[in-house]
Amino acid sequence: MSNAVWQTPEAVRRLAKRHAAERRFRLLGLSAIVLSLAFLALLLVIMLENGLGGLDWQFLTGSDSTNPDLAGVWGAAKGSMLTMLVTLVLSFPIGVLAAALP
Amino acid sequence: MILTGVLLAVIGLGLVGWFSARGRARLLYTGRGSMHSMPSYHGWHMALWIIVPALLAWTAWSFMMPGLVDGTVLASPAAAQLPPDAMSRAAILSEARTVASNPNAAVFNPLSATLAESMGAAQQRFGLIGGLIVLIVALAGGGYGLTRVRAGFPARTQVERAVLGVLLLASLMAILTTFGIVASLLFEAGLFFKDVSPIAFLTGTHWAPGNAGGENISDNFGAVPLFWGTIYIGAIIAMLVAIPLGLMSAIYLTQYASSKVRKVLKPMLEILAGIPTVVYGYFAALSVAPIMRDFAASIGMSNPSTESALAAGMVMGVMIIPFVSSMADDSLAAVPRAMSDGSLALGATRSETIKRVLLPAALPGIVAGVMLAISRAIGETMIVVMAAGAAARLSLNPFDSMTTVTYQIVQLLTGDQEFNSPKTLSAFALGLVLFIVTLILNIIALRVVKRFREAYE
Repeated sequence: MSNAVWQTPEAVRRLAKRHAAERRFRLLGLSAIVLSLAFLALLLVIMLENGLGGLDWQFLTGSDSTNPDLAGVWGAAKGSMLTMLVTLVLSFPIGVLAAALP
Repeated sequence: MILTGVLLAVIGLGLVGWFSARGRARLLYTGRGSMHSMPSYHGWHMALWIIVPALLAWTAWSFMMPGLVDGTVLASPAAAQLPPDAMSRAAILSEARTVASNPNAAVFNPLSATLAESMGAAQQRFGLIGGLIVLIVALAGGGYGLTRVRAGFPARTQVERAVLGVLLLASLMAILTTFGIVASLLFEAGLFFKDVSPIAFLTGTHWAPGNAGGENISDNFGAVPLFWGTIYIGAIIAMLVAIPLGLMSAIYLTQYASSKVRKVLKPMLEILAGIPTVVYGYFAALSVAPIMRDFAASIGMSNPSTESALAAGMVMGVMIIPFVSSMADDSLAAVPRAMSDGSLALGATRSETIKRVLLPAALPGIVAGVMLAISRAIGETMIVVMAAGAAARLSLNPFDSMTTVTYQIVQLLTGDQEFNSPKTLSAFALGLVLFIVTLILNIIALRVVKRFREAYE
């Protein structure tokens, strides 16, 4: 019977080794993705830890100021929004029209 | 002022033309097949004939008018007192222009106040002339359009042709912009290579554009340390992080994870690609770099710097992970199912199948993905600006601060710069090199992907 061949101590040992390699490989894959996500979590934690304290209504609505207590991002946010608006106005029609060319 | 009103008037005329032509065409309609085109197409044809020539005239006049106004003002008696040199003349004229449009504007030069009056009058006059011309053109176009409203006229074909022209213009826009960018890059780099020999630029090892000048100007523009820093950070350190992590993540997600897990983990991994590079930049500079410095100090380096190639490269690698991962994902998924099934049926374990069958088959796609990732990494700017440092040095030590091509371009072009010095122009030469390298990497990668796709279809 072939059973005898497959269950010699040497074959069993080799199979166990291969299965261990399989588990190792699988673990390696999982650890790669966990490590990548750990970076993400670290980034978010550091950002929230340092940033949440300074976030308030004054910061969101204030404009540039030399006084740190009065300074805010509204001016910068407005600039970003206007940039986005210009980009949209330029790229949306041109992109859609270019795509519509038969 | 007047010209804006004229623009609105032209659009209004177009609207009127649309309705009147459509109305006339409707009167011509006597039954099925009596006309070539539907009445609304006649309306569009008419409106196009009113608006397009008028807009062209308007644009042309807007370009011509400032010159004509300045000419009139310079011919006025008050202009005789203007200083002779061109620069202060232009300054006073532009000040007068400001005063003419806003009488409360602050005046630095008293002469401009006297010129403002004739400036305002000239603007008024030429604005009126331009408005009249535009209106005449619009009316002439409309008159021509009106004569075309006949039963047999192929208005629809004409309108379709006009729309096709607009579409063509839109697609040419992207191509022309690209050509414009490349042309400006080539032109400015050509100016730079007039002063500095290309060989010295590409093979020199001393980079100090700040003190360049005189006879041995070429000696200060050796860009090899920059290229080395770019390759070391973007193509070596970043890839040492991104390739194993990205590839193993892709393998795990496609081969091992259940679809439920995959649905959760993959979008989370993609978030890494959505984080702004500025955030990565300060993450590298404020969080990773100090750890690297302390680590370097603990292994016995004397006086390690806070800015290190390792911090910048590692964070850049993290940023690239989802990129590598999704490219590897695609190419693993493109391998025919029969190949891995065959391997599994022969008794190979899953990891053996992946290592012996899937990866070799997917290798071209993975290599192409890595090349695209490298081309992204070497063009990455914000992280290296914040974390890599400004010192141009050839070093193998990853804890040293290093500089990259992108960082130097930022340095050379921000702030007040004179555009006739080789120091500023060298940024364009660096940009040209970066562009060529990225282009080559992209072309090779796309070729490889294309050939690889064909192989299995």
